[in-house]
Amino acid sequence: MSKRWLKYLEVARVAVRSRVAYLWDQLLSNVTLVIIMFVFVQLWKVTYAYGNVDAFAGYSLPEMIWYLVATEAIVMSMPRIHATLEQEVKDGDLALRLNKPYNYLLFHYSQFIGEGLFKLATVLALGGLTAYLLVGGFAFYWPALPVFLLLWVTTQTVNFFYSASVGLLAFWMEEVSGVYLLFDRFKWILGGMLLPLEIYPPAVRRVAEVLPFRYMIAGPARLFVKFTWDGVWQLLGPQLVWGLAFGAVCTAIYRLGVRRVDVNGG
Amino acid sequence: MTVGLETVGLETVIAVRGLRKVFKLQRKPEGGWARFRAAFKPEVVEQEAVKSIDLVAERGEALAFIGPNGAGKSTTIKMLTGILHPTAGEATVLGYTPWKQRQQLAFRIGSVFGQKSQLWLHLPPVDTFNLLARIYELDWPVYLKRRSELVALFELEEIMHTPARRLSLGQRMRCEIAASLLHAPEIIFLDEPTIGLDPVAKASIRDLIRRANKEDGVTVFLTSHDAGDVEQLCKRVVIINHGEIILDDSVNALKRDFMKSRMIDLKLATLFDGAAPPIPGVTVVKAKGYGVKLEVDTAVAPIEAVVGELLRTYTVQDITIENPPMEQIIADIYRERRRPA
Repeated sequence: MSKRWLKYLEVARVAVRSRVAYLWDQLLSNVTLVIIMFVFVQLWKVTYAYGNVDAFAGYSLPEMIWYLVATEAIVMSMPRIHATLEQEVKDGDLALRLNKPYNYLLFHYSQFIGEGLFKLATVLALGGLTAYLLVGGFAFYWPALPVFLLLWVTTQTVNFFYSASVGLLAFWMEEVSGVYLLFDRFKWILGGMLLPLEIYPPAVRRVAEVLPFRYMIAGPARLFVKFTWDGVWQLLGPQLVWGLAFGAVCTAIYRLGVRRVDVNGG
Repeated sequence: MTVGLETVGLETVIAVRGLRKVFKLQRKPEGGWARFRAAFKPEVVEQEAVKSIDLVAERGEALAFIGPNGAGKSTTIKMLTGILHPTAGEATVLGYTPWKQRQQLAFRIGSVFGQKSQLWLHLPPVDTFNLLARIYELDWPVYLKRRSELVALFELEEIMHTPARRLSLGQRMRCEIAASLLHAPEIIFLDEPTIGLDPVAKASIRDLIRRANKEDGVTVFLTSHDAGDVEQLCKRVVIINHGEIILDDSVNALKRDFMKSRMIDLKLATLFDGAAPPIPGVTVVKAKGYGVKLEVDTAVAPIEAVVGELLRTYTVQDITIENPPMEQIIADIYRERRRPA
């Protein structure tokens, strides 16, 4: 690998090491996941029993719970990039970053992926263990394990540009957390974070199908429990398109924003 | 060299002509309705942070760029490192136009901000050093050799594997400066490198900066509020105030013309009797109880001689010697300029 790219790999590696220093904090913060999983398992058990069915929209009870593990793993493994960028813009730490020979967004992307990988490992370990103890396993397609790692990276790439775009609004706004909350919850709801999209009412599903959010949460989570090779290609294509679109938006916001630092001072 | 700065010498590393920066700031009006209206139609005011400055620095020079808060120091540094675009004017740093060739320039300059850290707080300095080696695209064997030289010079052996958050401010600053020298920069921009440090740590940091300047020929561009940094590290001083350069001279000339006095704070073992010490050039500025503040005219009485005499005359529990504050030096410069020739 050329030195030009090796630096970003090193940023990701250092980010992983930096997170390891927080191992216990990380595990402790994931305790909420155990509670969420427990509540959802109880709710779904009642629902399946009341409906007297083996499957909802093709999902058995263990598949439904493992789908939730996958969506939580995607959402909870995302570092708070919007907050990091907002802080750097506000504190003037941006100046510290801009005088180094790297691309600012790529630097943060590498850090995001590095930190995210570590968080993913802890969330999957704890969430997976909880799900296994409560509902047992499911027919996971083990040969596709490396593919899931790739899909996690592609999914988080789209998520990175989406969240970073909001964070960089700090160049114009004094507080972006409110806007981010709105964007994030929109993504959660229409991205199928709590329920597979197949369960949604047809009208809502039609809306969700034209939006990018399903490729950011539900798509990879569905493949996790119902793997097909066709499904991989059907996910990677739109992810590439939306990744490029959000990447372009994010880069444009960044470039305009840096010019704004120029106008308003560091 | 580009941008019409052909007149500068071969060894010129920083050349600035007519550099100006105007910021546009939104003003928040008083009162609820006015503020609501301003949310849709903000009131913008212009603030001229840097007013057309000219400056040249030669390779290997140690230059102090000083001034009070809000004088335009940081804005100038940010323009020279390519972080800010100027409103007008030209500048080259090592032949690059900083705001157009920021990345290329970044490989050849270093920077230390006393109040911002480039170390990863939860990791030992060695990890940050390794990362910086990758960021600056250094050859690994060359980097390892350079690192071991800097570790020895900055006496970092014992702290290289301690998480940065556990280091003292002085230790951290030694690491910061060593980190910024890893890629052997030709110019190092130091923004308040000794801020918050105790006298021993300050002396150590100054010694290291001096060695980088003298032994490696690194051009030092220093901003500091501490006159001690300026005196001990630099031969030339540029003072900026309200965005204008008001003095560009040798540090010796500054000391001779505008740093003629020193303040001495004494804490005595007995109550001060109110009588001025019998030393020419020394006057009592303030006295209360066991404490006394003296002003020393160093043109009349060398500071060493005054301290010696004071220690012989009084039973001293504590002594602090201070340079005149920056505001006083600037006021003296303006006063000197207004004086008819």
